[in-house]
Amino acid sequence: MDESPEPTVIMKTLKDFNQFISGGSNKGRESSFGVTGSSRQRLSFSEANASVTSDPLSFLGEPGAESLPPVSKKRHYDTLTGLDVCKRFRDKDVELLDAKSTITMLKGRLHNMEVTYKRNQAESEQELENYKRKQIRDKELIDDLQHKIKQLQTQHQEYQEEMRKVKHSCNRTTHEVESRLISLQNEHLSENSRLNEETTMLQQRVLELESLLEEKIIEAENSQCHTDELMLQLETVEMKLRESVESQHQIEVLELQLKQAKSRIKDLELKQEEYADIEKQRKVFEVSVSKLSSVERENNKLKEENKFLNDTSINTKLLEEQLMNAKQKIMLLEARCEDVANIQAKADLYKNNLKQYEDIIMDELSLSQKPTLLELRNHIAKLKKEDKSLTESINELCASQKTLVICRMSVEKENRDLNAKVDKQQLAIQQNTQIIKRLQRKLLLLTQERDRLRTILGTYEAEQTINFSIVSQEKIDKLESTLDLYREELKLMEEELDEFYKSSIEGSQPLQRRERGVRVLSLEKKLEEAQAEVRRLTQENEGLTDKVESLTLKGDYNPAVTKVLHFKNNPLAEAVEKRENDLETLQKENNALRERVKLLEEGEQSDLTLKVGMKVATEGNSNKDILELQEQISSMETRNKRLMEAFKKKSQEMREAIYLLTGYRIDSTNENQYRLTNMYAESSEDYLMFELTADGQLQLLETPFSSAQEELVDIYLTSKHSFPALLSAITLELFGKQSMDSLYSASEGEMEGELDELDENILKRATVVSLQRNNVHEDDEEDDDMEGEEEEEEENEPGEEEEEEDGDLICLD
Amino acid sequence: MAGTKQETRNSITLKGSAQLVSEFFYFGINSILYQRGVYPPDSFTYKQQYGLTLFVTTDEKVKEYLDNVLAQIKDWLEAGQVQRLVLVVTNVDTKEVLERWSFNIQHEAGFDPQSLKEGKEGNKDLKIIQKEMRDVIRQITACVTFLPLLDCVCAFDLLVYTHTDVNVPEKWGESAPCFISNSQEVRLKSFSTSVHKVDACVSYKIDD
Repeated sequence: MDESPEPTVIMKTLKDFNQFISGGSNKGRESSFGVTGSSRQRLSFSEANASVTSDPLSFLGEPGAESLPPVSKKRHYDTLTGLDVCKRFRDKDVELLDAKSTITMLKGRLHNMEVTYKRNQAESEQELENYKRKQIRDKELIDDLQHKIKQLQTQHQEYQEEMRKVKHSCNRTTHEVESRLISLQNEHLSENSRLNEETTMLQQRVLELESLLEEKIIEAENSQCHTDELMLQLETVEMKLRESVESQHQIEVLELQLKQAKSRIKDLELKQEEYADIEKQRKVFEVSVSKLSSVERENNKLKEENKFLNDTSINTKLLEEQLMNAKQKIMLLEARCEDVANIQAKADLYKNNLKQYEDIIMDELSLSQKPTLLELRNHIAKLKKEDKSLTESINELCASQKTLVICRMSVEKENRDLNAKVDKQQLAIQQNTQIIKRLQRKLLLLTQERDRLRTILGTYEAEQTINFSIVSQEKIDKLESTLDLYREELKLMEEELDEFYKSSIEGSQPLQRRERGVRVLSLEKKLEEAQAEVRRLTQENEGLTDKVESLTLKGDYNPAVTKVLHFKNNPLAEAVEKRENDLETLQKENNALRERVKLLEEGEQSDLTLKVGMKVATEGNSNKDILELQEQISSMETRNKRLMEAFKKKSQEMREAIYLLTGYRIDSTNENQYRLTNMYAESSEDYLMFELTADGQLQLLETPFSSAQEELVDIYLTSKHSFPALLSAITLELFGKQSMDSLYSASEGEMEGELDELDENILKRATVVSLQRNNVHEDDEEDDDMEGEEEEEEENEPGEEEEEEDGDLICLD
Repeated sequence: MAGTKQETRNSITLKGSAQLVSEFFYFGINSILYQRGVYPPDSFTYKQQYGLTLFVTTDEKVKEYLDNVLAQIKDWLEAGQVQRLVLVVTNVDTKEVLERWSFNIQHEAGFDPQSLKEGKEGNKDLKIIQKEMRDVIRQITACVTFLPLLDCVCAFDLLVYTHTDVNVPEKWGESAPCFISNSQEVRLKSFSTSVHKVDACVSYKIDD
């Protein structure tokens, strides 16, 4: 088909169609056209457009003749294309949308481009600005540098100027120095000349001095001569000096002599003076001697006078003595006069007294007259005699009293002894009464016990069927009550003992003393022991206190009294928590980093962090889950194990019990198969096999042993269908065989006596009978069977005896 | 002019004694924390007390903790229910107890809580009390010479030994006594406020 005519045709038909449908509604047509037209203009339907815009004339030209056919054509086309047009429209729409999208894309791109352009521009502007700034900075830098250069140049110039100046000054100084040098050289020269002159001068002087020296030497020689002479003179002088010394010695000696002489002269002068004194005394004596005669005369006179005076003095002395005596006599006489008066008064008194005495005597002695002295003396003698007799009688009485006192003493002693005896007797009586009391108490107890026993006996007699528990209970109760009584008794006894001890302590008998001594010794021993213990305990106490102290130092405390508190939010707790948090975060980070490393190693590169996060999260969870599950598994396993152990133990016990009770060891070999081995089997090869069928029935499988026991199998299984009976029969048979064997081999056994006369057959039959007897019970349950067997085994001996009888009966049959 | 001689009586009440003791604990604990290097030295500032230059923490958390605990201890001291205060230094990594600074508190004879409540007062010169406290703190400082070096991350905790019938506040809980299994004990000096008597002692782990 041609491409170009098709769209125009379509368009036309569409136009017509629209016109036909809408009639006058121009607006809708226009709008629909507008849409299509605009879209068409926008779209690059250049060919179609062109044909639309360019072809109308040709169309208009052409269809003049064919004004009708187009309708038919159109219809034809419609019929031909039908859905085709719609499809095409859709296609076009799709294309249109595509185009739109491309346009938007392009616009977006353009926008992007613009943005990038702007950005670039902005960047370039920025760069430009930067460059400008840089330039400015560079310019500034350059300026700075130029400035610096200028400065440096000026500095340089300055330095050069300075240099010049310095050079100038240097030159000047060199000039000066040179001129100075010249002047100094000049001076040096002049000085040299001067010095030369001086040396010459000095040489001249030296010469002069040499001449002078010679002169001086000559002079010295002369002086030497002179000295020699002087030496000679000196020697002579010395000689003279020695002489003079000697003479001096002599002079000294002379002087000494002179002194001696002078002293002598002085002595002599003294003697002379003495002589003169004596002369003067002599003269005085001569004068006194001349006066001596007159003196003697005077002396005589004086002697006479003296004698006279002496005599007179003796006379006076005598007179004085006489006077003294007279005075004494007077005194004595005066005293006597006084005494006489006193004596007379006394005499009166005595007289009165005498009278009174006489009156008294008269009265006393009942004398009619005044008694004379003799009468009185006689009377007194009489009285004395009477007195003597009376004293004698008194003495006698005293003696008798003494004897009586002694008698009383003895009597008192006896009395005391008797009292003591009485006391003793009383004590004894008391003891006896106590003993009696005790005995009475004992008697009471005994009677009570007897009564009880009697009651018990009565109960025994009364009740034929004794309930042991009640009786024993009663017995126990009664015994307890007696026990209580005995306890009281014991208490009383103890009290009595205490009293006795007290009384014994109070009493003071030698026996008790000895006992006391023993007791004291024992007590001392105890005391020592106690002291030792006290010492030990104190040491222990010290040790313990030390320990306690050290423990308290360590911080120990008594939890009953003390508790330890702390502020919950303390620095330690905070530090620990912080550390744990840090650790956790670090571990997390570590895991994340590890995962990252792993992923990197695996070659992943995009969205690493996200993946790592995911992985860590899932792994963490799964790890946790796994851990929990593992824990659960381990706990379950342990539980399982424990259960298994318990089962094993229990089953072992069970099997053991079954083996011991029934005599069969039951092992399950295969599934549902059980092997039974008898306790008394001859070999381990002898066993029975059973099978548990699906419907719960037992079957005997054939084994060598079962075939050997065919007889019993026939009896119990084929006819009676009883497995327990069969098993028991086999047991009995085997047991019988073994015991018989043991009998033959003369070994020890319980059954020796009983089985002596038993035949094997008898035994078999007996068992049969006994089993038949129990059969009713045994058929019901295996447990019952076991119990039956148990009983059988337990009561083997009596059972067998019974069987014996039964066996006999059977035999008789 | 002869001045009237005023009689100065030193009276120490139970409250005053509790105040003195808790103040001593504050400075003692700070000294231990500084001397043992539980907290870095730059978190401490110095302060004059008892005639000494003592270091006091500037760490806000520690300050708050100490204020809380010491206020409570003061209350308990006034009630006569504290037996002992223990500062435990623990290794944070291994949770092993390295040091125990124990301050044993006792009532002086005749100053049991009952008689104190009835208004009995102690009499001791404050200067003497402060001198005794100073001696104890000096000894704490001197202990650094023989105590083993703490070369691990450490933290401290304060344990209070009280009577069992004491009311436990909400923020407080019972604690383990934190014994040191292999320890060496050194008894320090003690001081007394004439009401309370405080014996100090340090026990530390011996290196094997």
